[in-house]
Amino acid sequence: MTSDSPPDGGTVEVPSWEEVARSHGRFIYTVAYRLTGNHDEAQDLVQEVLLRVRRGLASYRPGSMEAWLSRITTNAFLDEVRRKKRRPLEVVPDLPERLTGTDQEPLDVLDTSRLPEHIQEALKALPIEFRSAVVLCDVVGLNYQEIAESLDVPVGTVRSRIHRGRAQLRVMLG
Amino acid sequence: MTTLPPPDSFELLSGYLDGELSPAEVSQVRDLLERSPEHRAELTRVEQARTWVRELPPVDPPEGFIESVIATADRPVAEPKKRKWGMLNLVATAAVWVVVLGFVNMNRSNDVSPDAASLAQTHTEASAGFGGLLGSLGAGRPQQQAAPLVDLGEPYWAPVSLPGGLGLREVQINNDLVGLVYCNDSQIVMLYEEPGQLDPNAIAGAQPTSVGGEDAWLLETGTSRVVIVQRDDIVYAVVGPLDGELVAAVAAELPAPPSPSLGDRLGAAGRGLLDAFGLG
Repeated sequence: MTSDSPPDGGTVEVPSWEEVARSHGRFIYTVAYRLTGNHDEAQDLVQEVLLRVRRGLASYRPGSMEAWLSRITTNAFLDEVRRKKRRPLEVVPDLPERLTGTDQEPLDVLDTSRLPEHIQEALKALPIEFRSAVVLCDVVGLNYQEIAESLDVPVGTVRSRIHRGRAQLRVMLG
Repeated sequence: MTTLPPPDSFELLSGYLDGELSPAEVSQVRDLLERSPEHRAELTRVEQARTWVRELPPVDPPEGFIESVIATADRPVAEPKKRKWGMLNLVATAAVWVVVLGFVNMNRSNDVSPDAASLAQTHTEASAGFGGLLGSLGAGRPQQQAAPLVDLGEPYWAPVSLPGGLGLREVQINNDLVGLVYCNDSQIVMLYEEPGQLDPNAIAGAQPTSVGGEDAWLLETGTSRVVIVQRDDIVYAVVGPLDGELVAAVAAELPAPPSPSLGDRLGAAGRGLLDAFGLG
C-alpha cells in the first residue's frame, strides 16, 4: 500500500494498482461484460481499464473506488466504440411502441422471469447511450448525478436514457 | 375532453423508481399514476426490466486473466541498447521510443493523455546519450532556407525554430502522433502534437500550472521537465531540460497553427524541409 495525502491533511491508504486489479477485477470485468456483451471484448476492455488505472491511480482521491472504476470502464468502452466506429453512436430512436396494448396484467408481468443470457443479449441490442446509462444505474448502482458525470451529459438526459433503455429492454424481452 | 399527459411524463417513471425525483416531480408522478392506466402499466413494465438487470449475477473473468494483465503491464516494454549512436540516429530512436512508450494510448481515442513520466525519461536518456556532442556538431545552427513553420499536413505543423536557439532536427510521424526534436548547442527539446482533447485526470503525477496565462500540466523529474498544453484541438507536450526556463518558454511561445493561406504559402518550403528530413 502507498499513502496519499487528502486535502484535509490526513493520511489515507491508497491501494496499489495491482491491489485494485486483484480486489476489483471481478467488478470491472462484470461492468465490461455488461457493456460489451461478449467475453473477448470484455477482456480487451478490462486490460485497457487496468492500464488507465495504473496511470491514473495517483489522481484518485479516496472515495467510491467502484464509482471511479466504473467511470473509467465506461469511458474506455465509449472511446473504443468511437475508435472502431463499429457501430456509430445512434441518434436516440423513438420507442418502437409505447408498450400499450399488451394483454398481460401487471401481476402476470411481475411473475415473468428471464434467463441472464437473454437479458444480456437484450442489453447488447440497446443503443450504446441507453446501454451505458442502464448498466451504470442497474449493474453498478450509481445515482443519476454520478452517471451524468461519468457520461458527461445532463441529469435529465440520464433519466431519459435510463427509462427508454428499460422500456426497450421490456419490449425485447417480451 | 381528456387532457393527455406530456410525452416525457413517462420518463419520470424510472426516476420515480430510483428515488431520483424532486418532491414536486414525485407528486406529479403520483397524480399521473392515480389517473392514468397507461402510466401504471408502464411503471410496472420498466420496474420489471429494472429488476431483471439488477438481478444479473456478477461475471467472473477467465481464470488467471487478471494476473496475466498485471504480469504483462509490469513487463518492461523496451530497454535502450547500449551502443555508440550517431546523433540523428539517437534522436530518431529516442523519438520512436517515445511514440511506443509515452503515447502508447494516444491513438485509441480523442481523449489524449500523455504519459509524462515516460516522456521525461526518454528526454533524460536522449540527453545523456548526446553528451557534449551537440555543440561540436552544430546542432543549433539555423537551417538553410528555413521557413517559420513547416506544414506537415492538416492539422500538423512544425516551427522551424523555437526560443533558446532551438532548431528543428528531426520529424517523426506515427499515425496521429507527430514527434519533433529540436536542439541548440547544448540542449534537446522534444515537441509532440496529437489532435484531441486533453484528459488531465489521466496524466499521472503531473501538476496543474500556468504557462503564458493558460492552463498547463507540469511534471518534473531529476533532469527533465514536461509541460503539456492544449491549443485549439491539439495537445502539445514540450519535453526538455529541468534547468532554466527553456521548456516553459517554448510552451508559452508556441506559434499559432498557420491559417490556410499561410499554410499554402509555406507548402513549398515545408516540402523542401521534409525532403531534407527524408520524409518527402
